[in-house]
Amino acid sequence: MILQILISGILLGGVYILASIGLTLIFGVAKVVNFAHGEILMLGMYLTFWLYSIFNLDPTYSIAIVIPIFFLLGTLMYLFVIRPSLNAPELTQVFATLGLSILLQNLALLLWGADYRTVKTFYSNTAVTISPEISISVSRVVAFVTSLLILLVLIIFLKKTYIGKAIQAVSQDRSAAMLMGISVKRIYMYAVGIGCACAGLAGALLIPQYYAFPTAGVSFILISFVVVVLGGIGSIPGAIVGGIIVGLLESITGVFVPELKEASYFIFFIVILLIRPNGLFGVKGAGEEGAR
Amino acid sequence: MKNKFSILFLTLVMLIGIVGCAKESGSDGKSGSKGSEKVGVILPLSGPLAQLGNEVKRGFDIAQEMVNEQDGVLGKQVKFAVADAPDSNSATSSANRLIQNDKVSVITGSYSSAISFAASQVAERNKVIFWEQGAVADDITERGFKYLFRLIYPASDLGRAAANFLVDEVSPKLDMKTEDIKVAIIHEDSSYGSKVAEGAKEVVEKAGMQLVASEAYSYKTNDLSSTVSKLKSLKPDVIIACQYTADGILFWRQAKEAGLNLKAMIGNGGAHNIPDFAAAMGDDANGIFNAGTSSNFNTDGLDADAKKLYEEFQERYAAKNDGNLPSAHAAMGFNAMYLLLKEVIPAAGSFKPEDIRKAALAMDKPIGSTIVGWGVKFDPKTQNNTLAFPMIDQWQEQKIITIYPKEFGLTEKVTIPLPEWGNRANVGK
Repeated sequence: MILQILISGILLGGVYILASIGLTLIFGVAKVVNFAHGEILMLGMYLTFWLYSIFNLDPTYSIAIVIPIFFLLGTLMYLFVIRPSLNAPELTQVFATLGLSILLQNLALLLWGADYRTVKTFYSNTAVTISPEISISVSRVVAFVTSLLILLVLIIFLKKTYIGKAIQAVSQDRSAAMLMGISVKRIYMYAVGIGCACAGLAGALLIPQYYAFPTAGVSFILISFVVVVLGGIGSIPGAIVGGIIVGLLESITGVFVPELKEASYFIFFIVILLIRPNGLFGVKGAGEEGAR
Repeated sequence: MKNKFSILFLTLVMLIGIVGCAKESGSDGKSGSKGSEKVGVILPLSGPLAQLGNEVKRGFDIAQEMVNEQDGVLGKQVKFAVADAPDSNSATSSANRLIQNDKVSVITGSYSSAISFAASQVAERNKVIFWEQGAVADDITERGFKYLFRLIYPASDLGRAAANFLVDEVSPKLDMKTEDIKVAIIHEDSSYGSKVAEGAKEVVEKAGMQLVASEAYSYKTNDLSSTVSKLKSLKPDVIIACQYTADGILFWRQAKEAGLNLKAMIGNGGAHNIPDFAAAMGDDANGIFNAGTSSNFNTDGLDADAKKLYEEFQERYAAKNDGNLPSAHAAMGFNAMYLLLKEVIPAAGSFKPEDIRKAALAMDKPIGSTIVGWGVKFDPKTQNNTLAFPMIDQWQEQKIITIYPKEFGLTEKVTIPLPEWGNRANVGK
């Protein structure tokens, strides 16, 4: 049973990694807290659901459509919501994305109603049984492996391409990057676009095991924040480690002290912040340097 | 320039939001008709509980429409003053608004126990009738309120009914000694789930079965695999579950993935009686029992008037909703609103809370006289309906079929024990 708990914990961690990777990118580069991140994920679920129910497209293939559409959506979000509030006080920035989140929730309610929409693929609700004690959910493995592959691509992109390097440069030191001739605002746009594409992708990969409904994103956003801050703001390896830690914690306490299942990672979170205020992989000041 | 643009955009965003809200809450009947009276409605029409809140509203609307077509109430057309209350905080302010601005003397609602609990408090303080159709938490009617009436049974009765069904109908067919039957209870940890679990636990222990687990979890959870692995290691024969929609679907999907096989499974409303459950689980939903109010039962158990009303309600609902049949929540909403407008207020002779209260307390309708099968007689102390009871359904061919009590059962073919995952296509055949 211990092995089963560890496996489900790591796979659950995969779910949380998926949900938080875009958040950490936007957070790290543009220093904007995107409260609408959960809703972007929710829209990703809906898009995948409609692609599935209208064109019978498997969620794993639909990511080819979801990623570009959500990149575009992200750039629009940057242009119309984030950029106008960049020079405003932080409170205004919070309300801009928070407002967007409420708007998107209610828009989804208006357009699609509050029904729980599910996708049934040939692999959803199935598992690989290794022994009578251990079984592994196929849809979680698919989500886990796909997200690791996409992450690998993302990391290579950040390390090897010009735009990727520019994104990293801006996240490390905005002024120096600007002096080197990098168009910071354009980099922000790319970062928000990529962040949103990641959230849409997360929605697409999560729908075979979850369900799309207007407030589907809410349950992921809070955990995503924990994962991001735990791992260190803006750090992709941090988000990966943070996600797996939270998944394991939830899974282990769920069996032994079910009453503390939700509380466990918050307790751990507080302890980590006391010892390492910048998170596990964080750099000092990463969250502070804004675009002024 | 940039600032102007952002202000413009934000205004636009807000406008869209406001228009959206207005559209949601402004769906009253005919306006401007002479001599109309307002009835307050509090329901979660947005937010996480919106799905079933809107379903109740559909039932309310059909009752309003039918009553207004038949010359209204006391010669007046009925209009709804609708307040959207996604949670208990907004329930309090919504109730205040309905009482102070719309001057209603009756508020109906509210589907969710938390909302009902908060809103009825305001109604009681202002001596306004609170007419509850479907919130089940026990403590709502345990406060000794004078203006609160509840048509549905309390949650602990629901849990008891599910467990009694297990003891009386399921266990004789399991070919096991009663004391060998292992029962696990899982429930979401709000007042609804906890009270259902309490009622079920009481009956299970009294019958001498082994209670191996009673697991609570938050319905907002993203993962129940740890609960499933724990249950799997305890090897229960029967699970009694009380879950909302999302967590219920999640639990059964993960239970299937883990290969958690059972001899019987009894749900208590929530996930287990809505079409989304079958949509998510397919044939694997078949064989699962549900205790709760039913909207698809054998109408031979109803008297002639109720049967006619039942059919008219089904027809009108289907005509408005692409031919879909109403869920139990719409039926309970309709039932509560129709009784109020068609029987209670006419008997009271006015919209005054005192008169309505007297008329409600004097009501005595036998079982089988309403479209959900219940009778109506309010307990003079708690003012909870004493003649409401849950029915038991089984999922067969991805549809929910009422099987018990026998006079309301649609079929005698009940599959016990539950076939394993993947072999459930023939349940009920």
